[in-house]
Formats: sequence, C-alpha cells, structure tokens
Amino acid sequence: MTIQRHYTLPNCNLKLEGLAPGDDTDPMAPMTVVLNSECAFPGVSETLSGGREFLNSLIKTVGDYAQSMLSGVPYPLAGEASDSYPVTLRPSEHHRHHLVAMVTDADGSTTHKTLELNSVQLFDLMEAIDQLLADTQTLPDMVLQLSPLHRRHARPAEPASKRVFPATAGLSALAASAALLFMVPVPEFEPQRTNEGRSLSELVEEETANLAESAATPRGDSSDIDATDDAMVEGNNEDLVGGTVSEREGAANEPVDPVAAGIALGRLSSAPAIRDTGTLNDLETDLEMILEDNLAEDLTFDEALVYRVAVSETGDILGYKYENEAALENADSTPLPDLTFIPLESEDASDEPIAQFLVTFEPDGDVIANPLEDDDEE
Amino acid sequence: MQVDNPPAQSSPSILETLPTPTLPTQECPRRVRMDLDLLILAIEALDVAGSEALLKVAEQLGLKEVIPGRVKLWLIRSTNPMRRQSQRDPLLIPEAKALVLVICFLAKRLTVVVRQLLLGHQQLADKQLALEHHFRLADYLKRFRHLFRARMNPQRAGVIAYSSDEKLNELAIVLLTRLLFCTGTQGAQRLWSSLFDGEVV
Repeated sequence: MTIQRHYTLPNCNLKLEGLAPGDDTDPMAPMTVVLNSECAFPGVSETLSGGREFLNSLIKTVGDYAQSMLSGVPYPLAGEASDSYPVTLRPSEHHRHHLVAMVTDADGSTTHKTLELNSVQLFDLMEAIDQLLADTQTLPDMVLQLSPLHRRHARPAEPASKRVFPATAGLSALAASAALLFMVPVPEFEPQRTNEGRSLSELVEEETANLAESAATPRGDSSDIDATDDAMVEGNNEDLVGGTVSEREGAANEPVDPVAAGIALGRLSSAPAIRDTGTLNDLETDLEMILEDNLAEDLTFDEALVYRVAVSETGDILGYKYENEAALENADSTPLPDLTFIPLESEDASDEPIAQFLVTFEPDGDVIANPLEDDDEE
Repeated sequence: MQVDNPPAQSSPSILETLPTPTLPTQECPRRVRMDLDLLILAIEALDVAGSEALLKVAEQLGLKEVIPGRVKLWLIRSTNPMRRQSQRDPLLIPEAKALVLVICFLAKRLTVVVRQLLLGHQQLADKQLALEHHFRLADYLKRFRHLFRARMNPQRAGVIAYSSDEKLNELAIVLLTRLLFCTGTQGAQRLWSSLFDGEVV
C-alpha cells in the first residue's frame, strides 16, 4: 500500500511517498520505506525530489546547517553536491542560504538545482524535517541525532594571522627601538673632582664656598662695596659649616684642603688691602721663593695652574682659590695646601691687612706671582 | 524519627530532556553564558514584559527551584562576561538548561512576530531599503540597541566590536534568526546542542 505523508508549513511543503509493511488493512501501520520525497517552497517554481538517499542527505545537511546558524560555529559540510551528498547548503549574502541539490530526472539524467532560501524558508524546511523525524508513524528508524561539535572544530575567534599580528608588532617595535638606542653613544662618565672619596658634609662645604665666592668675586673683592652683604653671606657659611671649619682651623699644621682655603680667602675679602708697593714687591718675591722651594720635584700637571692667593703682611699664606679647572684638580700637587695658615680667630684675623696675588704654577716648575690690584679692577 | 539531612533536592525532571554534555569542567563555557543572555535580551526587545514573562514561564515549567526569583535570574544573567555588572560565579548546567527551556518557550510564543520581522527584514534587504521603513522592525532594533548599550560594559573587547548601530542591528537580526530556530519542534534540543558546539571533549 502506498502511503503519502505531508508536512506542511507556511513556506515549505515536504511530501513523502512510501510503503507500509504488512497487510493493507492496518491504517496505523508506519511508513518504513520511502519511494519518493518531494520538497517544494510556495512561490518558488523549482521543486526538489529524490529517493531515500536524497532525503537522508537533506536531513543531515539541513540539520547541521541549522545548528551552525544557531551556534555560529561552522559545521564541516560538503562544499559541492555529489552523488554521495546530493544536497549542500552554504550561506549567501543578505541572510540568504544557497541550497544546491542534485536531482535525478525521470529520464535518468542528473541536474543541479539551486535555490536561494531566506531564513524563514530554511527554518520551515528544518521544521518539516524535525516533524518528520519526530513522527513515529513515518520512518520510525530515523530520529533526530544531535551532538555538539567537538572542540577541534571550534573556530578561533580571530584568524591565526590576526592573532599573530600583535605579537609580531610588539617584537618588531622592540627590535627597532633596540637598534635605534644602539646608535646612541654610551655617555662617558668624566669625574669632575680628583678627590672622589669626600663625604657629604664636605660636599656641602664646597657648595657653600662656591656660593660665597660667587657672591664676592663680581665685586672684585673690594672691601668698601657691599661689605655688609658679604659679611651676611659669610656669616651664613659659618653657620652651615662652622663645626668642620673651626676644627680645620685648629689643626693649622695639617695640610689645608682647597675648600677650606677658599672659604678663608672669601672671609678675607673684607680685610683691608696692603697698598704699599714696596711691601707688595717684597711679599711677591717671598711668595715666589717659598712656593718654588716647596714645589715637588716631579710635577704631575701639564697645564699652568692659576690660583688667587691671599698673603698677610708677615708673608703667611692665608688662603687661596683656584682660578682655572686644572688648578682645582691639581691643588694637592702644589705646596699651597701645606703652606696655608688659617688663623684660629677668624673674626679678628679679617682685620689684618692682606695682599692678594695671582699665582701661576708653570708645568716646568716656574712660579710667577702677580699682585692683584684692587684699584685696577674698580 | 530524626532526620539528619534535608531531603536531597532533585532537579526538575523537565531538565532531563536535555542531555548533559561532556565538558572539561562542570561550568558552562563563556560562549554559553553570552549567548543565553543575548537571546533573553532579544526577547526583552521583542516583548516589553519579557523579563516578567520569563519568571512566569519558569514557574509554569516547574523550574522555580532553579530560578526562584528575579534576583537569581539577574545573577544567572550576570554571568555574561560582557555585562557591566558581570560576576565571576559560574553558570551551572541546570541553570543553563532552565534558561534554554524558558527561552524556547517564550520564542514559540513570539513566533508570529519573529517570522514577520525576519520576512520584513528580508524584503527590505532585497529592495535595499533602510531598516527604518519597517516600523515594527525599527522598533525592535531600537529597543535592542538601547538594552544592549544600557547593560553591556563598553570597555570589554566583546562589546567594542558592536560599537556602531549597524553592527548592533546585525547582531539583533542574527539573534532574531536564532530565536526563530528555537521555535521549532526540537527547538530546545537544537539550541541546547548548539550552545556547546566546539566546546565538548
């Protein structure tokens, strides 16, 4: 007995023709053999039809495609319709779905039929198939088989090339910046002071000494201009470094370090200058002699060292200050630190008249002293 | 008779209709949490009283144990990592099953609207007309965009991808299509299975 089953939905009609086993008298006998299946979409002239193989492929393809639409994960579907897979589906533009079916005509020739289905038509086709599968009266051996795709089919959120890009960009940026920085020369460290091992308190002293010097020098060491101002700066210096300076003053026979000597010189800026030419000449000669006598045999400097030196009326060196860089670096090579005498009562000593000389140590051992004329500078 | 333990809570039998997938962990993967929340968002955009209906349907289906009230529903939906108030608590399999059943139930109720909107969208796309020409569709898209922007954290990479109106419209249409496929005879089975595509081991 031939049985027909119709699954009718608004946009898809699925019609099956088959046979039921047993005698013809049982109206409830299930359809177990499919002779022909026909799938039509209202409004579309093309109809798809085929035998059991076509139906099987239709069920499998549509079911898998529907799952991929639900999950967004593409199922491994056959790309081209073939004898073994007569039905294929793939997405098309504008939310349409491209269905290709190999249909065998009545005369035995096979043709490819192509349908463009919209989502609602595709859903109705899927629903017709689901109803067929759920129907126990038709093909009871066929049931809906759903199983999620295995992990290996999972599509990465982004293609590999896109995922590799940030890492490559980062690495190349690092390489580029490394290459650029390689071009930049390594900054050379040039030690500015020869005596590096000085403590912080000494560095403070030096800083304040420089301050005092910079305050005093532009005024040409004249005693009558802004003497009060200088005194204030000097007073501050004493407050800052007083302890250390007085200790050094107590040990007069110790070599005086350039900083203390500079401070002493600054303090003397308020002292009255010796104006007598005869005395100056004598002091100049004495100074040159003393320095040349005490100069070491082997000189370590190869550049003229220039110092400003303050001398008392009795010929004692009361303070000195470097006038060029070489002089600062090589102060210990000169006899000045040994010869400088810093009086204990610095306040009283500042009243003592002094003479200032510009002393130049030549690399060949000559010492030249020139009196600094306050009058010239003014 | 003294009873030491409370009676073991048996999960509602309706959940047994959905097979438990073999997952590497007992928590739902990230995509499941996102997809379920987005589908509910689409239902809310279609139906103004969507979230209320959701609670009622959960009660009708006997899922009150899993979704006892709106707070629990909110907590479950907040497992979506795209949300502003996303929480790190896992989404358990029974909770996901309950959401799937409720979503499919509501989708079947809305099937007429969903089909109308999708057919209308198809016609507009064929004629290359703007989506605003279909009043009902434009209304749905507008509500969906509004709900999405109000609830999703714009800092998240997954949300940044939907920064423009066009992309959100596209997402809304995709979700509408998914809802359509949930309305079928085997909608719940198909949706449940699709959630774990590419996740099972």
